[in-house]
Amino acid sequence: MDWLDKGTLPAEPERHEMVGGLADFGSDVLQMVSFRLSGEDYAVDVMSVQEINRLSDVTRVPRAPHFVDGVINLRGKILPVINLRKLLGFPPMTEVTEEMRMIVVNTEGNLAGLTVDEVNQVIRIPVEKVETEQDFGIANKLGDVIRGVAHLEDRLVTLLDIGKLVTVSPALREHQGA
Amino acid sequence: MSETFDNEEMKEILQDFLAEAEEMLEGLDTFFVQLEANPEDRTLLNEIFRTAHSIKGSAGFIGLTRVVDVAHHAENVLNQLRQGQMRADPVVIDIILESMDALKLLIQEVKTGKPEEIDIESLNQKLDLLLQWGEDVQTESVASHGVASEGTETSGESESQELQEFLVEDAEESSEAPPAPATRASPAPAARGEVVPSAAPEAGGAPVPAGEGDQTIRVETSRLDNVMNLVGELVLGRNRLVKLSSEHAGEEDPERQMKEISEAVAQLSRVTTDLQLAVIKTRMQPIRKVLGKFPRMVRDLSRKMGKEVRLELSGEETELDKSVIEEIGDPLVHIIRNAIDHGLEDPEERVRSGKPAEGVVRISAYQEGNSIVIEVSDDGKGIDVARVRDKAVERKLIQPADAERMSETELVNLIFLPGFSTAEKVTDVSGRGVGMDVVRTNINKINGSVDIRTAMGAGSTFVIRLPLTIAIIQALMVTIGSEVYAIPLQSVVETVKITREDIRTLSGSDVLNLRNQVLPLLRLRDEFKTPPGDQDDTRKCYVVVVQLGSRLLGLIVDRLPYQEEVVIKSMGSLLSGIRGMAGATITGDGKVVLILDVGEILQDIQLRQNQSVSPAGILSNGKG
Repeated sequence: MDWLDKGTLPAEPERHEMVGGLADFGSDVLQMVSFRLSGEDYAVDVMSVQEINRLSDVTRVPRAPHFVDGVINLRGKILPVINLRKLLGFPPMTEVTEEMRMIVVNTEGNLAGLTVDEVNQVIRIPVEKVETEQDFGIANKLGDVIRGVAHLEDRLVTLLDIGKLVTVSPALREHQGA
Repeated sequence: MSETFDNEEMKEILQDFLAEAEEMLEGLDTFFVQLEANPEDRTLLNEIFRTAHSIKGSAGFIGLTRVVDVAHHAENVLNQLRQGQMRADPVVIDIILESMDALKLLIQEVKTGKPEEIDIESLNQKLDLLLQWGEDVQTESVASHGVASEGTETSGESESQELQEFLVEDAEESSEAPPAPATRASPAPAARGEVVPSAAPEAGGAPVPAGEGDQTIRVETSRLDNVMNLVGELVLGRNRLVKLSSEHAGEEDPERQMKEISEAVAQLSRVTTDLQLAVIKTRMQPIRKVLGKFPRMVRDLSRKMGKEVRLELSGEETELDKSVIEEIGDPLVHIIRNAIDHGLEDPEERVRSGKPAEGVVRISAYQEGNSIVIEVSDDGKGIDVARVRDKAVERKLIQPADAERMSETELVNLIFLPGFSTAEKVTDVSGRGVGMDVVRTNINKINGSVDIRTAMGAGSTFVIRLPLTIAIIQALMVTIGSEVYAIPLQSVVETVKITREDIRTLSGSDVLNLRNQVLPLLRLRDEFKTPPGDQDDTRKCYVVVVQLGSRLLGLIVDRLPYQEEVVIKSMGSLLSGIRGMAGATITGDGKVVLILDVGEILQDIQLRQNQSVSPAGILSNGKG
């Protein structure tokens, strides 16, 4: 997991610059894909999102961590499907709805699908609205997959750290998967 | 720092250099070992000198000053050797090899960007001392020597300067080639570049992403041509099908059309089979890549342990998939270390038992059907089966009662159990009891198998069987409830259709009486916690008998729909650590099917049984 610390963290400022450049914003604006989970708003960095698909047939993997629904075939590649509800401790959906989507994320070549209740839109969040130095309670337990919380006018959006989601630390795996 | 290498061309040159330098250094190791046997071999000496010189030259061109520094000092010594002013004694070779190791580390450093601990200063001093010593010896014997040795010194230096200048000049005119390999290392695109960094970016300044060097492969053009041709055929086949499908209007008689379609499909399937083979071929590399390291290793080991060892290699041209080549190195190292440490006796002991003082370790590789066999044999004392049994019992790896019942082959294979070692004392070569366990685990990982043949007093042979490629395997598809899994056919011995009543319990475990032998069973449904599917026929089921080494296990499944050639794919880092799963594959209908890792399943079962008190011996007795 060394590369993770080295790879994603120092690269972050650069990435924001790039995003800002694309959208013609300053370097202090994050672009995030927002989605809903159990009535709450979450978001992941737009740069790590490869595509958004409808749910497809999942092959169950015995002995996998409990938050992994299984694996799917994405045009010849096999990727794990992470059930974000299970990962974050929400009750699982009782039925598949029309709005449910799988966000395919890619960090450093690691692909994974994240199942969410509903994908909203790409939002721009000024960096100063993000609180990172906070005790989120749940975050600690989850090996810091939560990057921060953004205060927008009408709501709170929890920002997830994709790198840590996809390569969930062994400790978390043990803690969750046992 | 990184500015120096930010252009792609320079990066490419650096890549090329690193790959080439590594290869050359490995080659040098072998040369030196040969040189030690024939210190007077002029051709060999010249070859060595040329190789070392071109490493220095290319390193100087790229600006790796530390590499140049060490290479230069080593070269001076080599020059003396070449001119017959010094003999290639083992001591001399030791120091030179040390400098080669330093060079390897320096190259590694550039490659990974991680600083290594290398004491260049003292190494250079050692080399200089050696040089001085060589000169002193020379002065004693030859009176008019002073000029000559100084000449060597200075010529070495000026030569390196010249070379550097030359290489820059080389940009315009590549006519008067210095040592040929040096020009190879500085390919044409670099020559055009006006920015040839003369200042040295110290090693580590330009880290090449780790492992990138191994991400490339050199392929013979003829093989690629073959792939091209087949792809051409593939396109023809597609065009034919496209044409047929557009003609479907139905004016012709459907029977003829069907015939044409099936012809086209047959052609396509033939071409894809050939193409598959051709693509596999592009990934094949001669096993020499791995074996090449061993002469040096055997030399160092035998010197360290005071044994006389001759290494014989054969079948170095045998080709294996790149991924297999990468995985097979470590197991072979362990086996060879074991052969030298435990297998071969001390020279005196050998002479006493009527053998030549020099022991022989023989590695031969050859193809046998669809697999590659690598045999590592020694003419040492062989494995003491009785001692293996006692040790295994002593370390509680098996029950005494079982030990009595086990066959000789089974007993010998106990050395592959984790934590097994018969060595009386732990040396830094082997004896910690980790080696053989790693050997089998690693070989199983690439779907291979390893067996031992041994004869007391005459030596032992490790027989490693590897699949030609690990990417594509034959697999038996099985269903459990509504789920489908693939079992590598390589580990399947047979399949048996049984009824549920045939399953007996013995000390709480499921077993099957198969031709009067007790076969332990494993219900995959329970093992994988498979949700119950539409159970059409609960009474009948199949047992897939799998084997690992001498252990047998029957896996209970519902049905055996078919057998298929599957391409193994990784499930990604998140799921890579799951026990019992080797990977996954995508079937014709686009579904993902998991591939079982029979080795891991067997190991887990064994562990579990060793932990629980009751039927510990059942597994090991599967056969007899």
